[in-house]
Amino acid sequence: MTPSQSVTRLLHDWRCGDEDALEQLTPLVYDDLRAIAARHLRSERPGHTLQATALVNEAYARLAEGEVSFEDRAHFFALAARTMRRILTDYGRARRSQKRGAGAAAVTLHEERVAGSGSASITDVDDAIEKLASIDARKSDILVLHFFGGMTYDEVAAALGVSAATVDRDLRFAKAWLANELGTA
Amino acid sequence: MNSAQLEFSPERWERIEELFNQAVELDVTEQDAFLVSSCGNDIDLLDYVRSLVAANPSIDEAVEQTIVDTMTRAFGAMSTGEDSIRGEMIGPYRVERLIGSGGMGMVYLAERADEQFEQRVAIKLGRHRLVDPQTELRFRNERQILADLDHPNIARLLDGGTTSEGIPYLVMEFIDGVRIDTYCDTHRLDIHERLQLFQTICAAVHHAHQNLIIHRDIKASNILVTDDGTPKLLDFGIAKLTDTHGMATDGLTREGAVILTPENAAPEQVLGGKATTATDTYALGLLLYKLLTGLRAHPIDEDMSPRAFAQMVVHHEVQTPSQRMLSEADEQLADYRRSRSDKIARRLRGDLDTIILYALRKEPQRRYRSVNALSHDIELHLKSMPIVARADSWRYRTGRFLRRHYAAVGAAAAAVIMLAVFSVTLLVQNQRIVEERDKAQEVSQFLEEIFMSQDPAKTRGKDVTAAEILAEGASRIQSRLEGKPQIQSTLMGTIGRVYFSLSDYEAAVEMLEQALKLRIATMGDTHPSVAEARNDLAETLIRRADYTRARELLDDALAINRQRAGDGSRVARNLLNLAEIDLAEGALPAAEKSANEGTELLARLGNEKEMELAEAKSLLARIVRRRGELDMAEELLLEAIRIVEESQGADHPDIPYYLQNLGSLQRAQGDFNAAEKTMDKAIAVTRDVLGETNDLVSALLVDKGALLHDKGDLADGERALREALALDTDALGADHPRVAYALTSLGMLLHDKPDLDDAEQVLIRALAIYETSLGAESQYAASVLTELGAVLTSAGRSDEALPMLEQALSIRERDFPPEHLLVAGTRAELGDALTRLGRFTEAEPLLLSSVEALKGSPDRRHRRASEALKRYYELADQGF
Repeated sequence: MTPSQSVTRLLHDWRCGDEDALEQLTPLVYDDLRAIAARHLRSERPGHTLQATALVNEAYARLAEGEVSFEDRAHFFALAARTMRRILTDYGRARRSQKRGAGAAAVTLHEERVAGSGSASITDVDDAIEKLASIDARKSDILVLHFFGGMTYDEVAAALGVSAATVDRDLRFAKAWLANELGTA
Repeated sequence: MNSAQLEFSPERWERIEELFNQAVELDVTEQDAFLVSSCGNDIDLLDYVRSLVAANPSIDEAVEQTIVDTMTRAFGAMSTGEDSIRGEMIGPYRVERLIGSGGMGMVYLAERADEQFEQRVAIKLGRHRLVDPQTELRFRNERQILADLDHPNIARLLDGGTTSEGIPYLVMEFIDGVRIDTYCDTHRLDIHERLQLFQTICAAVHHAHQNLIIHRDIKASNILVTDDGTPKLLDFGIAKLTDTHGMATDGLTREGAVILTPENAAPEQVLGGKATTATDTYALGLLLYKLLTGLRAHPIDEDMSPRAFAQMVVHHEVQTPSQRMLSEADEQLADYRRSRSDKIARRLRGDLDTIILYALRKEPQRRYRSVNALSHDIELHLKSMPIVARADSWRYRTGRFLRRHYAAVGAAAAAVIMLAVFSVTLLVQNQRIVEERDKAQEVSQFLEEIFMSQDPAKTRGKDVTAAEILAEGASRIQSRLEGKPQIQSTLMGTIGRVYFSLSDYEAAVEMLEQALKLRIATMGDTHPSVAEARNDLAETLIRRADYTRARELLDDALAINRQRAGDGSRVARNLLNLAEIDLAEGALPAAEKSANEGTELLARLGNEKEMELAEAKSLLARIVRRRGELDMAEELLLEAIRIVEESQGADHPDIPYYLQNLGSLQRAQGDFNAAEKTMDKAIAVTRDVLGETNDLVSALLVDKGALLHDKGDLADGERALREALALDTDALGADHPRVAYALTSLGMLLHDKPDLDDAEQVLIRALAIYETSLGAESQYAASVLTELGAVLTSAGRSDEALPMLEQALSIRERDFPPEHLLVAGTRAELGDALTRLGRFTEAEPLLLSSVEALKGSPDRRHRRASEALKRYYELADQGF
């Protein structure tokens, strides 16, 4: 079985409710996203910014090049988005705990702040999304898929099994909510 | 203003969202006015929604930027060799690499940095801070309980803590192994070896259960087998720890965002119930299914939505492993088990199918009592001893089958099938005591096959009737159980009783006759179970009005049962059946004597036989009612209904029978409206619970027809009676007394219509039926003779009527006192005939005593007697 066949099948199994498939998929996607990002950064000129969408698209093309249904594709993006969120927040937290663990002053580095929107870091974003999840899980999910996966409304709708109109309305509200949270955080 | 200042109840959250959505649709200049007017006095709400509406619309870009920046740095660090994870410290552990991830967070391989001992560990890192000291304390306590769990097949929880960030982590023994299913396949373990490995896991789970720890997430990926073949369970109790302490906030399995339904969830988990040790048992059942067949217990359909999958887990009966093995016929899977798929299917069929399905029952309380019991049954199977799940299994499956087909089978049949199945269970258990394993298995397997062959999944949604199941069973008894008369007779008795409850008396008699014959041949003439068989057959014969044979059988059974020590319930049953015969034959004193003795025997038994006691009281009610004591009858009947309702609930299938009697009684008492209400209720309940063809439907229709007749609604009354007649003729044949009974009621109605020719024809047919079935001297015959005489009198043929009415009166007076309603009714008709013939002196005393006896009686007899007396005065005046 080639890797792409295996990912195609795992994706399908996962969508159909096989939890094990997800456990096998996540490290695959995780590793691949990191590898792609690393390669990009080595080959591209400095200052180039990575787009989540581009990254996920490439990972998707590599891992699941076979015939995949639109729903499976949407689920892959959803998985990639969540994995991306995890990679980034793991990184953010590790950085912070490393600093503190090493006995350094509990400073939050300037570059981790969200420019132009108060002074939020990636972990603040993550915490806010998590807080939203405890109130309204669907909106939190939509935020993750949108920001970390760069997914279109249609893709988000397919992954969550809701209408595109719902995604549109939820996202407008969720973004306002997030801005409000981060703005005064 | 951020959300920290506001409590979000679901209603409030919905309101906030609604206001926000409305506000942003408006022109900016109108927004604030809208919010102010909408929020009223709720200043908090106003402030909050205002702040949302005013929130920086460039958030999209800003967050995107944060993400991109972080990504760039994270991946940049990685590409320059400065991996963001490797070498990091979590507590005293140095991270080596990511080894997995799941619902609970990332798992890292790490090493204790401490120089003294180099131990490789697996660390699960949570994703979120523990919010307060209390939570942290609880986390620590629960962690300690898990850390105390010490078993060679359970990966130890070594340590745990929170990072300086407040993020919880757990340190576990690192197991270098492969998933158990992969291990079994790559080592090509056969079924026997797989079972043994599985038992080791059961022992570990049981050990944890004894320490009050539930795993909650047993699955193949949580069980690793090391190189030396030792299975190790990972993550014991972790699911709960992480659930309650914020580690499992992955967004995947959270409510409301359920993209996936975990394949391993037990029905109670899908339904949001509490996980118990039975939940682990279920998961072990799934695991065993997978290990033995290589297939998932719940086949996943391509287009299945998560909701549909959840539905399947809760409702879909899992196909037996052996059937799956056959239908999939995957030789690759079989080869992993060093066998062929048909051979494996044979190996699984029976014990292993039963064991797995027992563990996978939908209702937690119906599964194995413990994981140990599950393992024990596998042990018994491996030693070729009878497994415990067997006897319970088909009783359970039968129960589920009946629940699915309740309407088709009918409640009475359901009750009887369960009862019969229970009696077979006893047989199976007795057989087990004498170690006659083969016999016991023969019976249970036989029943299983019958019920499994009716599985809706196999019949493709087509409704299966009880009749089809029974026909299938009856034909198999002959072919499959030849040379095993004891088992044959038990099953024939079972099926015969089910036929009985479905009102198919012909088929019932056939089965019960055979069962009796076989029992006499194998057990001798005086064995208690021969007495049982006689009683069962007699009960059926009573329904077919074969009273002579029934009485013989009951006398024999009674003689046997009276000699046995026992609780008396068998004697009571015999007596009550005899009373039924006496009542049908009009021998009221004998009927009452037997019924009273039976009732007393049952009353002495208290709660145990309350249903039979209710039945006995109802029989007594019918007897005293025939004697004319309506109030006493109603009292007995209400007692019976109360007993049934209190012990079984108001929808018990016996209730319609009691309602019928009550309605008929109310009618006799003159309360027509109450009677009609009771009857309509009874008819509806009967059709609903017992089915259209049940003979109670026709009995109720006859009562209703007669009631409508009394009320003067002749057209509707006739319709009801003719419907009943058609049903009875269909079900019982044209010569059954019940047909005659309906005909008699119809004859009375036609008489009053008046349609004298038809009435005469109908009554002559009724009389012929009674004469051959119940005898020319029966009270039923007397009823027909009375009415026929009345019709002929109305038609001006009083001379023809006279001998009939005289015979009717002699039959009436033989069994009843002179003031009895039936006697009075017949006297009135005879008096009328004599009046019309000018024999006034003979007519007068008859008419006077009749009207006196019927005074206050609401029914047709009273009206007719009064009219006859009036006619007498008119004609007698003219005559004198």
